[in-house]
Amino acid sequence: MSEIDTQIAKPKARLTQSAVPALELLRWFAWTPRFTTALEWREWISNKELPDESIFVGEATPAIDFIPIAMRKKLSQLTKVSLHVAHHCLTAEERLSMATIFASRHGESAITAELLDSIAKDEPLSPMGFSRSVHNTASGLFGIIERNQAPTTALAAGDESFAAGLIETALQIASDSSATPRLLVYADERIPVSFQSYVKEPPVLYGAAFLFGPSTNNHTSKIFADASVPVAFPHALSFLFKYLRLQNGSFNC
Amino acid sequence: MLSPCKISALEMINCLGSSRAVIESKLFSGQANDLSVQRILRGQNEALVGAVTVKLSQVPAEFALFNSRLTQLLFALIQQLQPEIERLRATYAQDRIGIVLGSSTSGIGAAEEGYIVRHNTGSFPPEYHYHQQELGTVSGFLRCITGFNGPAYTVSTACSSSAKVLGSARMLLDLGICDAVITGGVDSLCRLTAQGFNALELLTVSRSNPLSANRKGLNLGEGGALLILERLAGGVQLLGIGEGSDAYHISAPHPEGRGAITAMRSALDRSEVATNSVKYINLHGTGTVMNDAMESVAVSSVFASELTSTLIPCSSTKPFVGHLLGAAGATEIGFCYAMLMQPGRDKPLLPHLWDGVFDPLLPRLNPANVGDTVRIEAGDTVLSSSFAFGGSNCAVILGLAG
Repeated sequence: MSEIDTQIAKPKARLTQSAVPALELLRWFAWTPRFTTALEWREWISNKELPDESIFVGEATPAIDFIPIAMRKKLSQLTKVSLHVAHHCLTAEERLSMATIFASRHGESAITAELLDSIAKDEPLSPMGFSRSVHNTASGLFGIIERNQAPTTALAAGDESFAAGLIETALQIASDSSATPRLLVYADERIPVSFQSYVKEPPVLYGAAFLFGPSTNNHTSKIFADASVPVAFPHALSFLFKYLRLQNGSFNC
Repeated sequence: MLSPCKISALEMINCLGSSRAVIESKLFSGQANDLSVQRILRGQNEALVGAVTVKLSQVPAEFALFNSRLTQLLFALIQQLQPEIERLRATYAQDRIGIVLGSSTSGIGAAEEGYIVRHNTGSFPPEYHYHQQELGTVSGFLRCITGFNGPAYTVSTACSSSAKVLGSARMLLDLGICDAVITGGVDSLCRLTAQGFNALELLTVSRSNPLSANRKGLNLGEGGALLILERLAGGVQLLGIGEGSDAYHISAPHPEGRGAITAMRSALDRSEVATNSVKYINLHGTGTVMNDAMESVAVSSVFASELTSTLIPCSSTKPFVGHLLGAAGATEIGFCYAMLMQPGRDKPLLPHLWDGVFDPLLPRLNPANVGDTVRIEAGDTVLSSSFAFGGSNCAVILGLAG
């Protein structure tokens, strides 16, 4: 078992043992520097095996043409990819009212490193940089850009950050008497070079948005119960791959 | 019908102290002499802050990777809560005890020290580790120390973080996933937040003066609070949590308190209580112009019908301890809990410390004075508000069980 395998084993155990309500994946949208279009993802789904890490290689940045020009300044890669997948996973109507859960292990690590650098040099901090260094930057900007006043949150749990997002999403849907869907957005950016030697996983930029509703299947619990499926991949995407394999049907992405 | 959700334990640490008896005695008698001057601004310039002055111990050696002022503050809280943690261990299965904590900074202070050394020498000092600043470390550290193995995660939505955690904790109990949840939040003073708020021109060198025409800004603080929630009746109940987003600006609130109003109304709805059950409001009350303006409008809008008869007493407790950012929500909810736990039906109010000069431009609220009391009967409630960067708003309602 690789290190990443042992890491996903932890949330798996807790998700199944604690009987967190299962989720139905209604729609999804994902982005990596190599896979930027729906076609590329469809080909990915039709493959039997998870692709290798080459899907994270590339200099592409997520398109943010839907963000008003005045608001495009000083957006991190993390915020761009989060907003990109969230926007494209939802219909115009859904964007106005969908409650959202944002999860990220590393959060705004690049902007934070810039601020730390300024502090070390005793230089003034950029006010805009500081306001965009909070973990809920993408969560807050989503509401501003999409004119959405629904509740939104931002979570982290180390190498279990994706599982934390799934748990919170499942809690919110199961607690809602009308079982309204929720959007889970998981993203990470390449952490700055200064931090890379401290983290086992390779630094990758990617984002995935999952529109979840209450479950009519038990795929989510199966995925976390089935330790035989190899996981050598960022959790949000390995979850997506395994879910789609179980689903075995057509998917709108 | 709501399932019961009892706050069964509370521990706090902040500039007032680390024992509840000391903290509560200072709060209810209006002793706010604990803010101090620290050189955490650029060029070693001074800021007036609520710094924890009790001596903090290092975290246990096996968790040295996570050592920072933040985990030291959290470790102090864990030690204070130890008898209750042992009670949970003896009562419930370990995987039925959840952990949801809020923080805005995690141990970024350790990264500041690391970056300063790196700037001077070219490499990080041996004591630095990236885990110290990861937000997930906050909940992860508590899980490591307790060994509790239920769901564990950190909510980080800036200054509403440790109010929102109560919503997640409550759902874990309501859905029967956990039998107990340790929740709350912790943040430590650091240059990044001090210099960041200073860059936004939101700090004041004197004590904050919320609601006053003379207000000049906020003081930062540090510390935190841990609360235990259980699916039990009686005592002080966590009734409802409401949230709303401004969808307005990343670092400024909506001028009419759009998201704040939604959050307060939603908290009332979810608590299944009427506005006239609310006998006290703990304001977000940072002491900035924008917060005062929007919060005065929002509170008077939600409680309009009550304003015509008797004004609901309210206060900001930030002049005592500063703004604890990601730990502010849990700390102030902790203060409300402490107030409801006072003996007798006439509870001492948490006083609003200010110069008493109402801002003529704002709807007038009813700030509580030192020594004021309020009659709290079974079924009565108190409300605490937390607002944050990103337009994240959260209101929490506690009630005294019948």
